[in-house]
Amino acid sequence: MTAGTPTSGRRRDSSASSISYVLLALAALTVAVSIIWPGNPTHRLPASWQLDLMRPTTQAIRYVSSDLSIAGIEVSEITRAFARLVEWPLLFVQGLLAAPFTVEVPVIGSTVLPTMPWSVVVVLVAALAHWLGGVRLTLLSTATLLYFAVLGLWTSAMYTLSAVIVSVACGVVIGLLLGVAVYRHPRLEAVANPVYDTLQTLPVFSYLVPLVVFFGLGPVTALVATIIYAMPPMARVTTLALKSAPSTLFEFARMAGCTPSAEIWHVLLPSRMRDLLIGVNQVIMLSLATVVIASTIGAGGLGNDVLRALKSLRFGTALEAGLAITLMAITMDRMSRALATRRPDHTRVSSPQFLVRHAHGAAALALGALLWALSTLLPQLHTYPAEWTLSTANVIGEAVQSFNREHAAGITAVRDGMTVTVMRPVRDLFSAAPWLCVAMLAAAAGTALYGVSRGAVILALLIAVAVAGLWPHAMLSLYLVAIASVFALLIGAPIGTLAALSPRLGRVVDVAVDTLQTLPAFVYLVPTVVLFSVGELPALLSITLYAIAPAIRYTQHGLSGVEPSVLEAAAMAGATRTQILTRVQLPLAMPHIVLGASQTLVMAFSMLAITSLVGSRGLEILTLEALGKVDPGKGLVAGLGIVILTIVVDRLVSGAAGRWSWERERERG
Amino acid sequence: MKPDVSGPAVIRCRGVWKIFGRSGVARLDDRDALDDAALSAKGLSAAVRDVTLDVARGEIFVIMGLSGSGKSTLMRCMTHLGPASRGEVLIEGQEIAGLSSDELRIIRRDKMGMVFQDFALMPHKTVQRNIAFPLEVAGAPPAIIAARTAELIGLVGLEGREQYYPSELSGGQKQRVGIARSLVNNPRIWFLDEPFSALDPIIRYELQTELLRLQKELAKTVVFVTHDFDEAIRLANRIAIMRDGRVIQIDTPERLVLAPADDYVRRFTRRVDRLAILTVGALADPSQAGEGEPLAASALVRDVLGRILSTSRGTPVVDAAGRLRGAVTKEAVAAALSVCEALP
Repeated sequence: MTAGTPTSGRRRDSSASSISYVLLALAALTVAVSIIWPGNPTHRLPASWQLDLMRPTTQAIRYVSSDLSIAGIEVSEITRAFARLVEWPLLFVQGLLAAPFTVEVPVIGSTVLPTMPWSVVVVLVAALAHWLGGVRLTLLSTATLLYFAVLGLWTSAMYTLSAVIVSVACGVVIGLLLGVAVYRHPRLEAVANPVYDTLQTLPVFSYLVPLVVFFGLGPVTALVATIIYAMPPMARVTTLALKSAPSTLFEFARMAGCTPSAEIWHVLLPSRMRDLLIGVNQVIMLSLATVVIASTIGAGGLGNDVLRALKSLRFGTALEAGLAITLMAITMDRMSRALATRRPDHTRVSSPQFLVRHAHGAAALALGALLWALSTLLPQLHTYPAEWTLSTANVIGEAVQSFNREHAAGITAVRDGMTVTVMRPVRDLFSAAPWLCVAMLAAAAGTALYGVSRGAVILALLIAVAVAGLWPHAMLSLYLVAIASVFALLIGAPIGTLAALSPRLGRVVDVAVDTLQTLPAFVYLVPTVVLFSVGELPALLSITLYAIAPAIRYTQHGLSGVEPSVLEAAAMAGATRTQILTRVQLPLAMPHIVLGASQTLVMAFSMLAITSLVGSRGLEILTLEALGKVDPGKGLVAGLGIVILTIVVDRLVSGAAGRWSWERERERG
Repeated sequence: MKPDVSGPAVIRCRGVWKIFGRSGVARLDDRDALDDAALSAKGLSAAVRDVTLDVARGEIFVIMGLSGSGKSTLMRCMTHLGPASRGEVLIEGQEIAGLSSDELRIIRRDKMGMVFQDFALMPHKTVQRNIAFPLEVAGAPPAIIAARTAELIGLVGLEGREQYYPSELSGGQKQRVGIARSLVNNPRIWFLDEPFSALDPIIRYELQTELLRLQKELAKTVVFVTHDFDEAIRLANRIAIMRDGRVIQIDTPERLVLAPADDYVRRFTRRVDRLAILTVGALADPSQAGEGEPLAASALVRDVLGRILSTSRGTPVVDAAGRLRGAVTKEAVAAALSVCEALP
């Protein structure tokens, strides 16, 4: 999401600021009225004033999915056909990696595709890793796969992997085509960008529900949701890459006599391969994050393992599967990044020997075929034998339980302390505040930052939330996000400061933050639930953990981005190190830190949706309930409520950051 | 030295204008007057103004001007990469604006080659594949592509680097690839848009020498854009000097130096090494006969300076046909060389 530019020009400023003062006064008035007359319409919107948007939406979607027919073909038939189209490659890859797949061949009859032996998978992945990034990457990927096998998670991991593979393939192709279409017809951009934004802000469960209506509960639905969620970065990167290709390259293609499509597909796109591969990396990581969540709706895989284990309090198993997801994420990230940063090198292609040019492929194929043949004699090579697996689940589970038992007093103290001193007061404040007061405060801030029209839009959006009857839930979401963001900043900013001050610590923090940002959101639920069981506290802590990365990173970069000459000047003026930090570095880095705060909020909102799985109670729980009851209207409306909250909060905070740095620029002249 | 060329016109520009507006190329009424007041009233500005010129077959025609003078824009009118807003451009007698996109593509494939300032190489292809690309696009048979590519790699001296990627080459090598690629389809017209501007002075000089060698061998019709007057002088048969979208003067380097059209041109010529471009013929005084062995009119003053200075009565000058054109004296040389000191 991009922040708009704060309004400039004095005249507009003064009229906007007087309107925002009026709004502030009105907000104060609603508070006063609500104290005298609690429950008035500005305090609690009466049910009779609310509009039920959920039921009509559900009815409309159900009508389209079951009764509507276009040109004599029922929509449900179309969606079912589409589902089969998407299902086939998924079943094929799953068949290859996880479970035997029966194909109907017209003449021969049904044939079962053999599943690839685990040993062959290990060898092929190792060869790919070696080709991409040498020995270290080979070790990482082999260790990851062995971890799956040894801990008995092989089949789950392969289900997750196959879903990721198919989703990435579809997401990359669709993203490329969309990105090229938008490049060719720039007018589409005005439509595409908001759509991408919404697709990525809408909680996963929200669009899972309508998809369930169309495609039924199962792996195809999960796959379609994953593709929709993971595709936008590819489309954006593609359009951006084409736009940023040097104009002379485009002219060269013209002069060489390329057709318009050859220009794009043979010259411009391949020349921006590095940008595109960074897009692919994002698609891979988003796919994995979504596949893990989507697997909780019954598609099987590591996410499902974690959730089931958490629900039945088998913490050892949950941690094992959570670590498996973590390892898979790190491996996929490193491998796809290695692909993106590969430099073309003539020494590889220039060898006349075919086998030298394709050493990795040849070795992988030969060894793979050998192992596959051997596995018919040695079944251990085909299916990892159960008696070789080694589970630490019980040991860890017991350790966790005994830790929890021994520190029960401490844990209870933390939980109660947090609940009583922080969470409950803030929640009461958010719930007690008159809804119109909150909406007007936001509108006042919006007017002051962006002018009257955007302020009006913010007010209208928030009134819509109230009219849709979502306000109480929205406040429960907002309070959780607010506390978590403050926590994330309180913890993240000092860490970022220390990292900026000490280069050695900085490098460690860099790696840690990198890794944190790689992990699927779902993983963050595991440790907090293990410690504090389910409820709002673990939800809050998970959000905090997830949102901490931008707080650290922006602070660190803001501080270390201050020009050295300024610091030298301060030192020459006789400032102590503390004085330099507090009087020079921090003020100069402030716009960056505020920008980090807005990123923190966006991250917190995106984590919020998943915390419904472990007991948060805001809008996100409505989306999850909707999924359980297959009520698409409820899921969509509640999801859009989260989108509105995210957009309003992000605009206000990033607008404040923009205004901050802009006013500084103006002061400097 | 550069050969004299005066073949038929290969490129003709007649009253070419290129006008930019707020939304790209603005539509102009044909009856609209083209002056600054009328243009700015419509929010437009002209990058090329009323340019009429001919480029002769086999010559090196340099378009020289400072940044913003419209030189690259004029070249893009010729290639139709940025079509002229008004006026006509004829390539070998064919009006380029009247061609369909397919016809245009064929003309570009068959007749034109272009070299770019930033090389515009494809980073994902090797040297060999970069050079082969125009032929691949045109659908040439693989055997011909291979032979032709190898030939050009030899021509620009990149043997042994065939399988390198552009990121593994130096700037000079990259532009050699750009040159080879632009010549692979054996074009008749060769466009070079500031090809050497991004290179170090020594490499630039080396590639200029290379270009002259290639041109001697290949005899293309060359349109060369540069902002470097010394480069223009060194390479050109004729130079068009541009300022604010207009062509101020089109002449041979020697005529530019001896008879600049205005002070703007004169300022460029001031620091030029005149000895390197003045020929004996241009300084010959027809009223004198001189004495001693005659000099060829096309000889550079630099090469025969000793002879001219050794006599006070002038040295006779004969043209290619052997006719006496007069005599060149020390005084004439001194006058031609000291023009610059006389300027403010």
